[in-house]
Amino acid sequence: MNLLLRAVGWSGLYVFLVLLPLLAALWSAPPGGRGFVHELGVAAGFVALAMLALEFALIARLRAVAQPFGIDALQGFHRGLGFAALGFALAHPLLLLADGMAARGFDPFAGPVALRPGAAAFWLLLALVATTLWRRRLRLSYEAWLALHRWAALLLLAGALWHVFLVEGRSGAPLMRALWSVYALLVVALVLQHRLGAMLRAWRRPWQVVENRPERGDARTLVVEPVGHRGFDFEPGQFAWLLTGRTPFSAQQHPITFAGSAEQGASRRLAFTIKALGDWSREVVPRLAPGARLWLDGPHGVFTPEREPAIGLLLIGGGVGITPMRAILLTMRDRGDRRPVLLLHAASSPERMTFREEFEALAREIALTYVPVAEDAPAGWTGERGRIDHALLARHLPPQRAHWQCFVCGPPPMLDAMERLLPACGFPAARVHTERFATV
Amino acid sequence: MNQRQVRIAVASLAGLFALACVAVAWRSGSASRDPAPAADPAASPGAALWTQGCAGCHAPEEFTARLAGTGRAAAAAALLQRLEDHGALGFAEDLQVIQWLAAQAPVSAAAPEGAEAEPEPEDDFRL
Repeated sequence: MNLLLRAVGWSGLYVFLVLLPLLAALWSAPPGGRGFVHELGVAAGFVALAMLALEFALIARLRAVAQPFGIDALQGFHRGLGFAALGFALAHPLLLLADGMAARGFDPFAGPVALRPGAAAFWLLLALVATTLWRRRLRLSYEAWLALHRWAALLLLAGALWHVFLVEGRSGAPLMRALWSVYALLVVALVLQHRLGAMLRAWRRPWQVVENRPERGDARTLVVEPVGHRGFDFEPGQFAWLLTGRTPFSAQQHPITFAGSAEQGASRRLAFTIKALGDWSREVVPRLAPGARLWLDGPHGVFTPEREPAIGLLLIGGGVGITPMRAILLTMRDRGDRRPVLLLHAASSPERMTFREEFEALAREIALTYVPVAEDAPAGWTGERGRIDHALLARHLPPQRAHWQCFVCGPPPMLDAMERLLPACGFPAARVHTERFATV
Repeated sequence: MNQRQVRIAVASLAGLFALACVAVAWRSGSASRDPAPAADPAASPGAALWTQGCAGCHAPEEFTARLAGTGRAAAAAALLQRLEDHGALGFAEDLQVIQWLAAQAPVSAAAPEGAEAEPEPEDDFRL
């Protein structure tokens, strides 16, 4: 089925599932007697709860759902719709407060019995959002934040559902209780699929490290091979979650882009290049010696030229965002792809440009124009200086840019800038593809 | 999808859901804007709320009979507590209904104002 149709279908299902409790509330016997503000508060609560339940679906790595959007876009939806759900969750008690609800309803310990779990869920939701927004300021490691986020999300949803089941009025109708039970079961199924199903699949297919080498730019490349199975195929630009630890269940997991050619050859080996950005990449990755066991959940992602017909490619990579570009270029070389490619490689300095020499060599093998862009370069530097801006793009973009596809990966400010600048330079916005994972 | 498309989609969805909330609240709330049939010649706000919200499932006698022999203030307090335990939210409207119900209860000479209400079985006071 066409990807656009599938995207429309999944979006429609999402809208339907969020609005279904409202429709059911209208259908079920209404308690009546309440005014507009009260009913608006109740409706906001229903929407908030349905959205929070569906947040689990957005990060459950369901391939069928991820296919038309991309996992990074689903993570963006998870984050954006999470904030929207917070808005509805805030509106729910505030509107009821305006309608005369006692303020002690916010007290999870001494408020009315039916409101206590709801109040606890409310404060938990605020804490969850605060730790997401200010994780670094609160000095929470990614792993600690992730564990906190998962448990807080489950607890707040349980509290909110408990509150709905205790409250009379609209929520008390049998139809509503049955509906919320279905949503609760849906969340349980998603959590089991995500945390248990995927881990079990990974456990049956272990990998081992065969090489762990340092790269320019404070990065390391891990080369891994399958143990007792044939591995899997991937498309350049895709990624996998790397699970390192004693078992997949206790493992830390991080999304890492494939850095090697998709033409894996008989060895079925895969390469991942990881920049030292956090605790895991600084402390765990360097210690993964040859023979170390790990697991992969993948391939995932739609950031690949294989889905997009084009007569040429513009690749823009910043920092470690250059790794998918390496996979794309090596795959083009191995497949004999002669289409023209322009690679803009941004970094703070030439010394931090991971794979720079390799790209210079590739420019002699395929139709690659390599443009390194250093913010701070020594005298004698022959590449571009500064940041990728409108003038730099205007100098290098080819005249036939309207028929090219562009892939951008790097730090969020660079992605934001490219999404703004490229259409201004005549590159169709629909042909600009980005990949971003730095959400917290 | 790029970030801009994601932001536009999120904003559109949030707007759609907000509109749906308003539409549902408007439709549900419209019932309370209609003039309610008077349940009592005195037509107090509590009586009107009772008629709109509770009378479909309950008769006032369900409650007033249980309150016979108790003082009105104690009956109202007991009802309010029981309602909160069962999920009523402590709204002023709830209180109006409770006061009206308590006012319907016959007051016994043996039970002065402020006397404790008889304990009631669970689930008896769902409005």
